[in-house]
Amino acid sequence: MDAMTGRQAIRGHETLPHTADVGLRGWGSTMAVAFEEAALALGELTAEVAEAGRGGHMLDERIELAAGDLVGLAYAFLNELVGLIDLYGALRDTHLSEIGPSDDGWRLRGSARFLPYDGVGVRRRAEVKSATYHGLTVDRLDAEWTMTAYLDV
Amino acid sequence: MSRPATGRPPALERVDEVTWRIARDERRGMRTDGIVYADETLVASLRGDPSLEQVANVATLPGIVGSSLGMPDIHWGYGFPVGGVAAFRRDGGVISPGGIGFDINCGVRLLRSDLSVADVRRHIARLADALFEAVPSGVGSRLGRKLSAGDLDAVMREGAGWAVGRGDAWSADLERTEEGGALGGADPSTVSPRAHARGADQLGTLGSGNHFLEVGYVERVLDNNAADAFGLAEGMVTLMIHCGSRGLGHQVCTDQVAIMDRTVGRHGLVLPDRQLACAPLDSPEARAYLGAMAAAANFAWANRQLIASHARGAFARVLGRPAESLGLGQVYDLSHNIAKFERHEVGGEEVDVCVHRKGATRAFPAGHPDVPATFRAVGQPVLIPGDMGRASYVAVGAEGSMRRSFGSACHGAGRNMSRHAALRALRGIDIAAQLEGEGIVVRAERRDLLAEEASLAYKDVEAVIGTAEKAGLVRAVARLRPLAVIKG
Repeated sequence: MDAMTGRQAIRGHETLPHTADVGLRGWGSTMAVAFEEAALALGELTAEVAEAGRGGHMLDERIELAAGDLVGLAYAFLNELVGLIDLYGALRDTHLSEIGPSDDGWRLRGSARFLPYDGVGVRRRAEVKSATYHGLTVDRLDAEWTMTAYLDV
Repeated sequence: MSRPATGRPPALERVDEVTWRIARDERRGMRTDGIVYADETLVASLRGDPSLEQVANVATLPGIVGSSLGMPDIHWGYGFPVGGVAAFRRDGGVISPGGIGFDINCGVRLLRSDLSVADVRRHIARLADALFEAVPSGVGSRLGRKLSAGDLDAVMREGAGWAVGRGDAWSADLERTEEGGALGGADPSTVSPRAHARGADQLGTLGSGNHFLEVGYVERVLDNNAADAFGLAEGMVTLMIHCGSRGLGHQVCTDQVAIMDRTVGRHGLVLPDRQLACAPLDSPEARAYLGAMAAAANFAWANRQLIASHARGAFARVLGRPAESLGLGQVYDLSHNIAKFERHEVGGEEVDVCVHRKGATRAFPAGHPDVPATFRAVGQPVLIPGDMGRASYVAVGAEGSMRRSFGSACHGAGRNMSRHAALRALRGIDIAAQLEGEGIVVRAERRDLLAEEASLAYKDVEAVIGTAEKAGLVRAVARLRPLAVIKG
């Protein structure tokens, strides 16, 4: 939130409570930004990166996903990242070069960067089993896109 | 296709002291009633909780028989509630990965010992350290070495039995494990490359969240006959292991939910919640899921088998005697996230059904042919962890479970507070120090996150057990108290 106006900034993310687990929300001026912000929330939930860990060598992974609809694409995107986090390390950021409708649904292309865990500067936090379809939405209100998701941890 | 919910929580009608009904006319599309087992306090904790809506949603699935059930520890899950049980006809019924959960064959194993509290008390800190070192725990815990593709496939086919030839199992372990530690029909070829990659170096690891090792003792025996059969006695030291199929199982469920989500429309299914994605039991998607689920379940049984073996080693090193001479035998190992084909009486007729248990354990009574011969005269052990500060229970399946819950019971205390809320409520409190003040040693990868799993975040296990007994699902056998807890 913008402290002066009380309105949401043009891009941002937050976490949401759930009885057993946790949710996240990312928002921004485009669908791609909302997805990227949701990914940042996922990265912060799953790892802590201290100053000492920030200079490590990052692993860059290409992402290319397709789904029958937009919510299915969000499910695929978050779960692609959950799997890569388990294998590679702390998720630092994502960059989506393409996201939109395709001949048979929706698709996205982009990349994600990971810092390998070292147990000191880069530490794991929560283990996410999966992003779920429960409450998973991708919405547009006026000029702002929002992705909301709940994670099984 | 998904159909939106109405927004109003389903009404509960009281049937008896611990039984509540959600009538089938509460929601459009319900094919049967919902039944929830809860006492007054547990019902109060469910007001406003989406788990009741989820019980109603499950009742809309094709081929459901009996009722859509909520066990006494029910709480909000994904698709199915945690603590949810539902059975589906082979012919015309469905399988839903959300009815098993992301952590396929998450379960509990209990070891007993010939040790008394006095034998262990002065070693307890060293024992906790040794267990913490022997069993990799915490988020993304890994062994540091990878299984070959061939070994991983063998684990997925053979389950706990894979460990026998490697010296990581005692002869009685398999017969004291549900399904003998291996579910038939496992098909590793249906498990994705990503799931293989995630599982390759996670066998023998605990993970994080609510998974734990707990050294405890039998504080009180409540059923002498069953306790004798289970090898338990007052004052005896025990070890409880709670974990599942790690990243491999999580990935299997994630993959299969996505596959079924794409084919729901083709099968003409209309669902109130997309997380209930499912497929007819006779479809290719169902066959693929069942093969992958069994593979992940077998990985979980091998995982708990290796953890038990490593824990036996830790006990032996600290106490300076071989594990055999410490009597560290297995009481039982059971799953609380699984689907199985079983025979149950429905409408006066014995039928084959696919029972989904999500956050619910099997609880077969005395005489059931699937109860190991060792226990058949008393019934199947039911292992119900509470929380790390209070107590856990060993119970035994009771006759009522076959009539009322497809031979099922609760799997734990059940959360009543979100992780966020627990961290907020306990900010500034050192939970490990508080537990150590009560004589419970704690080792954790992240001490600062212990509040998420504090007693305050869970329902009172006494109320849960009391309800399960009153409903006739189980009888309490022994109450266990913790001495040391190892958390991921």
